[in-house]
Amino acid sequence: MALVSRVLRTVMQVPEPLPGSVPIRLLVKTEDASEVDWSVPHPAVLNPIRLTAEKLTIAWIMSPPGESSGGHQNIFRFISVLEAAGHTVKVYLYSAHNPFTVASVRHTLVNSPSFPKFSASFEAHTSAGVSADVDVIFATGWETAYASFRDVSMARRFYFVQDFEPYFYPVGSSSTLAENTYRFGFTAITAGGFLSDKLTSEYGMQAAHYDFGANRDLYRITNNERRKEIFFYARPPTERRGFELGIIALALFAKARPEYTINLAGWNVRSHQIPFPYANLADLKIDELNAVYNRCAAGLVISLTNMSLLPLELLSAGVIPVVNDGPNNRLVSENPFIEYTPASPKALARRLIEVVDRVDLAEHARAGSQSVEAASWEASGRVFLAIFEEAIRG
Amino acid sequence: MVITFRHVLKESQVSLFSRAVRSLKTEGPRQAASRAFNRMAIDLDTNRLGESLVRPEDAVAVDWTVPQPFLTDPPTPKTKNVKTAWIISPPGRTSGGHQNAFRFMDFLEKAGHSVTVYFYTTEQRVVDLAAIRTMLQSTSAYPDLAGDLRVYDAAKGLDADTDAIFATGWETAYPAFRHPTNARRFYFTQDFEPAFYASGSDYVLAENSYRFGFHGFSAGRWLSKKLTSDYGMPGDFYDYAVDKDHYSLTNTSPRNEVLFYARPPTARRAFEFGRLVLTEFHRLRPDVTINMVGWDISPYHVPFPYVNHTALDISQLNGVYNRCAAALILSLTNMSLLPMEVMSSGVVPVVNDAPNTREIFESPFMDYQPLSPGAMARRLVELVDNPDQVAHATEMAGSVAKIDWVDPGETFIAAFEASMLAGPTAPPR
Repeated sequence: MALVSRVLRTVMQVPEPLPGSVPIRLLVKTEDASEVDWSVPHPAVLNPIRLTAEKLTIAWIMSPPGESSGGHQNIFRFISVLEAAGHTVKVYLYSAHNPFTVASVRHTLVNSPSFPKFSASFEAHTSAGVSADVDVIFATGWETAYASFRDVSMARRFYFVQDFEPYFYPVGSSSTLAENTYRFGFTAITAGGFLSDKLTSEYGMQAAHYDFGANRDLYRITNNERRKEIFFYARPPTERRGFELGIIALALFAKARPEYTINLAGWNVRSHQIPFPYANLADLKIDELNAVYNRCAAGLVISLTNMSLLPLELLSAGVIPVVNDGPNNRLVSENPFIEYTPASPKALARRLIEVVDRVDLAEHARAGSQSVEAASWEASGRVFLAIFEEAIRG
Repeated sequence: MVITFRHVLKESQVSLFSRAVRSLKTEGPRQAASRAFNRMAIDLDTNRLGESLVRPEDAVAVDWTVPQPFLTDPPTPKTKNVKTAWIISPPGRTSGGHQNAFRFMDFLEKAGHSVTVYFYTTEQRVVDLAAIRTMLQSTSAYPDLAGDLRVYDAAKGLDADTDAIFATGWETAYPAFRHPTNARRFYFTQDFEPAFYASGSDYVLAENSYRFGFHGFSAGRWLSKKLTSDYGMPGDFYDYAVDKDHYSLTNTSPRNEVLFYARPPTARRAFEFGRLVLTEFHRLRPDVTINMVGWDISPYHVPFPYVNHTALDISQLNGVYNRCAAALILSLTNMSLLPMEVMSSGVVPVVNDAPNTREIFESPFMDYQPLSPGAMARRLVELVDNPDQVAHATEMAGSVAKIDWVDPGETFIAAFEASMLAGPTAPPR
């Protein structure tokens, strides 16, 4: 036995990977995942510095934004809120695999109508970390929390959480590495109450949330007639939108109410086999949505992790949202006009039929639209700033 | 109605695909399907749609929000000569999940009940019953069942005089639900299968199966407790048992090797995470041999030296275990049997700390650690360096040998007959 292991040891060496071998790719840089030991608290978290200056320098670490990324659009919404309050923002772009150039990323954002005005500087994140003048670091996607943890800076640590990202993976290494970021000791500001509730109760995080808004300038009722179409937010590549589940439910609806046009929007679904007639609206521009919404009586929105912004936007345009029932959605909005329904295909189809068959539909839609009138992003911005100031100065 | 979801295979995926086809030949489609899915997920760093395990027409037809006759109008209690039907995916030779299910079918037959097995799959390939029979007979891993083996045919369904239906994998709960009679419904649950998927349609379809109103028999208490507390699903569980003949302490000298249970295609074994732990461990203690057991690791990039044992035969494991001071065993859903088995061989199991590992087997020798690569690596170093290593190993192996493992078969038959007598419990709505 001893001889065998001695022989093994002498022949052992780092094996050359086979040609075409399987690389290990995680969203986080391997070295960052390996080096972060959250069982030993970060000094910046253990002994948080007191920030007295009125104007702060705030670093945001994020993946390189794409123009149509809703998550990034929301990040910049709140970056512009911080800038309006007099703070300076520095954006650090972090990516383990995808090459990017800082100039082209910034150019895309500055020229896109989907992003608000901002004056933040941009640079690539390196192992050197953030610059010495940074007072506060915001992590965004889970992988950026590793970059923040590894940084020796004593800047205050925040985590801008927009979804429960471990759910994006089967239970495994990626889900574990994502989940562990909630144990880093950062202060979370979350999109809606489901996340703050979950992070506080399950991970002991200090967390607070802002509520979702619906932009009244973009989404409002323009059609008071009886509507003969419905809407499905169809995004096959985004697992959490439950595309297959929605299609199965809509097949039942189509059979029962063949006179209704079914609109699929959010993605070009041409390459998918869909067993009923539908209008493939693909990826619509933000200013094209309201016209489509105003043709629809009901909208099916499946959100299996944090709720989508869509239910409130649909309501604003007089569309009754049928949404899968669950704490992930109810804790974000308890709006009584959202039709929460068990995620059984037949139950979802029955509820869609009930909604479109309502005799008082137009009146109901107007009341639904009024119910979200107060939900504005300006209000969300004020809440965000209040949470931030309280955490920094409190 | 047919809904299929296309895979567009890129060139870089072709080798993965052919590998998946190869594994299909040796292991059966269910395992191979999840393997192909996981490999692609790792490779593309994105979650691609796979073909669902359940037939779309079954997913549509099942409406669990409406209470069914098997709950509202249950059959007269019957506890003798119960005719059972098991719906299961076609078995593979080395599929532990299938081996275990067949073991429990055998318990039923030995207790005087009858078993008919129905193979359910969404695979286009024809299920070759003769080949399955030959395979089952050729390995000691499967018992010799007296019952009939059939391919599930939706047009024919199950025998009309079936008294009790057992679903196994989550997709089989759908045809079990659809059976038109009020036969009792049971669910042989071996893992929390929604966790095999990202949050999406398959996750939901798997999760919903716990709301069907079936009576569960779970592998271990954690799973049973979870299904009852999270979904109101009634059920019983059996405890794991360690095979004392195969695992024992044979080396009482100090050990300077460690073990990692490495199964890259099985996401819940967290191969990439273990690799991070061992990268750090190797940096701290380059002199210690790292053994990997469970899978052929050669196609994967590993940045430290290791011994690639691949999937060893059960008779070879004890020899390897007895060279190791500690074993890194990660279980992100239902716990593996390995922690108990390596303890029998004097190896300290370093296990991720979570309810799914703590609630299975209580022992002071289980070394629970937080899932921080640095913390786990440090702990492995401590265990290798422990001056009392030999005494600790001896005491630990003794503690496992002393346990009088309850026979899972007895537990199962008693619980089954009690439930057949008591009738179904409706889940809360």
